Amino acid sequence: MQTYCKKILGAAAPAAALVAALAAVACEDHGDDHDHDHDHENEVISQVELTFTPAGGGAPLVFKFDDPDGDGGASGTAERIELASGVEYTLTVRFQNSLVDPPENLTGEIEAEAEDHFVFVVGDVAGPASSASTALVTHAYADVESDYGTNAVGEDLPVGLVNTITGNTAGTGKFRVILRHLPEVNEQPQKTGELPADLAAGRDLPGSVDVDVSFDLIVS
Amino acid sequence: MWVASVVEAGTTEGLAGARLELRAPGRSSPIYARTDEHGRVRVDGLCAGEMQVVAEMPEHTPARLEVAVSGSTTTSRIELEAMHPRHSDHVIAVNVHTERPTGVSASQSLAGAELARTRGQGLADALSGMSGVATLRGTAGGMSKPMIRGHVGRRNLIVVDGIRHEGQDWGIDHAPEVDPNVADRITVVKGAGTTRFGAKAIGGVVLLDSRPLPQRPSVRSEIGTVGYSNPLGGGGSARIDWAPARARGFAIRVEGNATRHRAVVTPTYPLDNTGAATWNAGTQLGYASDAVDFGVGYRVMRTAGGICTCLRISSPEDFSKSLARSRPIGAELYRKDFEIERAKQEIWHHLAFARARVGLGRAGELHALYSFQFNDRKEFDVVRKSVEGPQLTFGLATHAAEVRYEHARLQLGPWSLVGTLGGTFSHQTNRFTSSSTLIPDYRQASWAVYDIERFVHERVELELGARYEGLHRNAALGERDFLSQQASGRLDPGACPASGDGGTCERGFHTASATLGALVRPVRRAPEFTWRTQLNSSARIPSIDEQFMNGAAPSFPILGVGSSKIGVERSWGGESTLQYDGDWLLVEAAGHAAYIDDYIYFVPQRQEGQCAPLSCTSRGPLPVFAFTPVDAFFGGGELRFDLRAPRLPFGLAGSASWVRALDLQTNAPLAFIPADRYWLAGRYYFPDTRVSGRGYIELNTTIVARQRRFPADVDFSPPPPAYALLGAGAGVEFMSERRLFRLSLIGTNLLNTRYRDYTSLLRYFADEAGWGLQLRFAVDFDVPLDEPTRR
Repeated sequence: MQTYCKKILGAAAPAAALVAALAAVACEDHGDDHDHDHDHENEVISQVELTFTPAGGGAPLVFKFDDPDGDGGASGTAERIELASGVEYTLTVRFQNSLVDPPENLTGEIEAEAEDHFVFVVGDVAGPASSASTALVTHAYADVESDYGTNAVGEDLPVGLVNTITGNTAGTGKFRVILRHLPEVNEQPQKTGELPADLAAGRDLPGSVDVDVSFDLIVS
Repeated sequence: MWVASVVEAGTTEGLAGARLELRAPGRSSPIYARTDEHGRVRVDGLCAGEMQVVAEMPEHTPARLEVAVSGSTTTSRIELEAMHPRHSDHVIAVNVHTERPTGVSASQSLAGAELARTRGQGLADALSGMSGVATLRGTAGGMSKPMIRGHVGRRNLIVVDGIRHEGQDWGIDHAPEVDPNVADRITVVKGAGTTRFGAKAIGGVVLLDSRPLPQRPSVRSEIGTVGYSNPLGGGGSARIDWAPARARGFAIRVEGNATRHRAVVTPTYPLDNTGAATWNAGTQLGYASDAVDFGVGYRVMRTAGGICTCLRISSPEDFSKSLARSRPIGAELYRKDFEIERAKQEIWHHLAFARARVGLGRAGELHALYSFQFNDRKEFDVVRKSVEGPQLTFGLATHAAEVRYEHARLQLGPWSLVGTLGGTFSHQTNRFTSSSTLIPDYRQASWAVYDIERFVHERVELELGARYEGLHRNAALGERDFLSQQASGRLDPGACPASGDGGTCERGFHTASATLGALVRPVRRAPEFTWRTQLNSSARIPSIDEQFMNGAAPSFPILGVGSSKIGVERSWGGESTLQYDGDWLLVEAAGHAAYIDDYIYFVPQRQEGQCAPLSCTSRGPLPVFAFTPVDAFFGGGELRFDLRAPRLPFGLAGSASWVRALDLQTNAPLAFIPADRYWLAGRYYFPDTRVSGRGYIELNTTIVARQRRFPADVDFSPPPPAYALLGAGAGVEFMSERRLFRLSLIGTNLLNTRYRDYTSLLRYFADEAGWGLQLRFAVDFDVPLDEPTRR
């Protein structure tokens, strides 16, 4: 109904639009409903779920960051990651919007646009995007863009939705996951193979940050 | 000898103080004259021949005519069309038309050729040349707001033809959805205009007035085109007024304009995706007679503008990295094309109105106005390709009605008393849609009564004004919004019960404002010299975001929160202006100061939790800013002059403005207050010819100091360095009695200086625009449809 009114306004002659504009009040007057999410495009990421599956078998370990009010004033919380040294894990990263009911899994959209996204793992981590002096774990990418679709542009780069994490030395530190959105600018790709190294060297990256969450890390 | 009478078209009343410029045969420099109290003027000692006359009067359209001066007495009658609607004889005698600023407040107007040189620009850019008016510049093409004496947005009111503009003006990156092209005069009231216009006018008022529909049968038209080089683009505008001879008193206007430009270019790179496209259309129909006037009209604005690709606010870390760079990352991929991609804003603004004036004979007259506005704003973020729609939509519907009674002039001995008693009512609903919380939907009703009385003596005018107003707001918070605000103690439990999934907050506000002002002409022989002074106490009711904001603030990597408990902000202020407005010299000096009790300020707030003192979000820890009442001081001054050497073809004009603002609790300066600003222009005037006039060439410079007074912990980066910009302009008019052609060329930032401005949101990311040229050409014509003009 709302859209219909606006179409009339956009196309009609001013005189007709005057009538339509006044009529639009009826369409826009909505009373007290709280239905903010109704019929709306959204892609908020409010939950980041890390699943560490031991390569040698065993129950997967799941750790979450959750911000239940999204960009509201209340702070989000991250669970503490507990891993074992000397164990190799397959880490899968999932992004979810829990602000809608039922919660919406956004990982599929990132897979579909794998060439525009890059997940970085930093903190007390040794890996492509991080050269920490006290590396508690080692990170390596375990996926490439062509795992999720055809690799249309440039090299077949890692995405970071699937990774290999190996527990090194026991200790406590930080484990930080960054999802960077790198859409093309004027048909030129922004995602390149140098980005993890640029991040490790502290250089500024293009694109924008979709996710940047830090977890406390214990390796025992 | 030449004797002329200058009268107002329609009412045929003599106009006192009209300024005449005569180009008489055999004289190299013009003769200036002013009409007496009956609107008459007499000039002796003229040689016979063709004389060109330009008659000007504030609030009236200038007239040009050629007079054949003979050896004996020549008489002429000059009619000037009023820029304001008609008034009854009983109230018109003194300058009290209430849509205009009152004579006691400091104000500055833009009209005629000066206004014509701003056509095709946004409102804030059109006003940026005025002293005391700065610009809060956004990160998109042409999206900026005027700042009056350091106040912006929520504290400024924009009034278009007597109708308060209602838009999403709380957003720092939301430009007012107003088309400056409809105006034939733009006036900025610097300082509080609350008694006449309401609580929002606490910082200042921008009045846009279109000229009234023609009152005698004629066809009048204005057609203009503009082209600019940076950003490359242009546009056109047209307005046709038709008052048919067969239906006396009726008139119709149809107007429209469109502009389109591509991305702005800085001296070293383009600001990718800052193109914009705007069009406006409107029509109005009116009937005017001595006893009754009425009119109905409709206007629509459509604008779409891209937001610079350089704007990256997604995380504080990114933001601080971009601050450290002198050039945005990836600038080598930036293009200066027309395409408007995400991120962008798309806006419709509709305005429909009906107005009436009824003469009440000796009792005065009654005015009534009803308006409806619908503001439809959509904001699109850079998102994954599967998402097609906007990320934020706002729909603001406002009904407003006003009735005012202008009582007849009362004679109290040597004093005349004129005044206006009025009442307003408005109802507003806002619908916000997004997947994140930001502001709640709300309904609000507001009303006001006011009275402004003016005692006028020959050299002294006194003004008293008072206003009482109320507002009742009902905000409907969604479940997540309600729970989050309740948990952080920002909702008043008594006023915000849970309802349905969320909660409803109801609150009423009542405030009073008052002004006392005086205009004095201290020197009997020099009525051009005036002293105005005004004292006022004004109250502002908190806006929706100050009460209930809960989300990422637009344009900054911060979370903003309001408080439902926040109360009314009250200012106690005064201002004083000295002005000399002579034939060849205008000098004005103004000073102002205000203490603001419970000034609603946006201050950082320490958070508890894992990311203390920041708040954890999925995009990293973000600082939280809260609307908090503090006591504040605002003060400052403006100086301007315009000198035209009496017998030489040279002119010099300049202005300076200063604003100081302090948080009195911490004694720290307030953030985002414009830096000291100076402007100086030198002009050469070409001699008029038979076909051309007012030809000039100008060289000017704008100097903006570095803002040295800024709070240490509130901003993300220190203020940018001082800068100086070189500009130039040239213009000429070709005129006849029926037609006026205006041609102007303006150059901006001609030295292609790289600079950033303290009150520009772009300063965190990129430079401002490099050099550019603007070429304008306009034709006005006026064809009477009745008997030949009596001029």
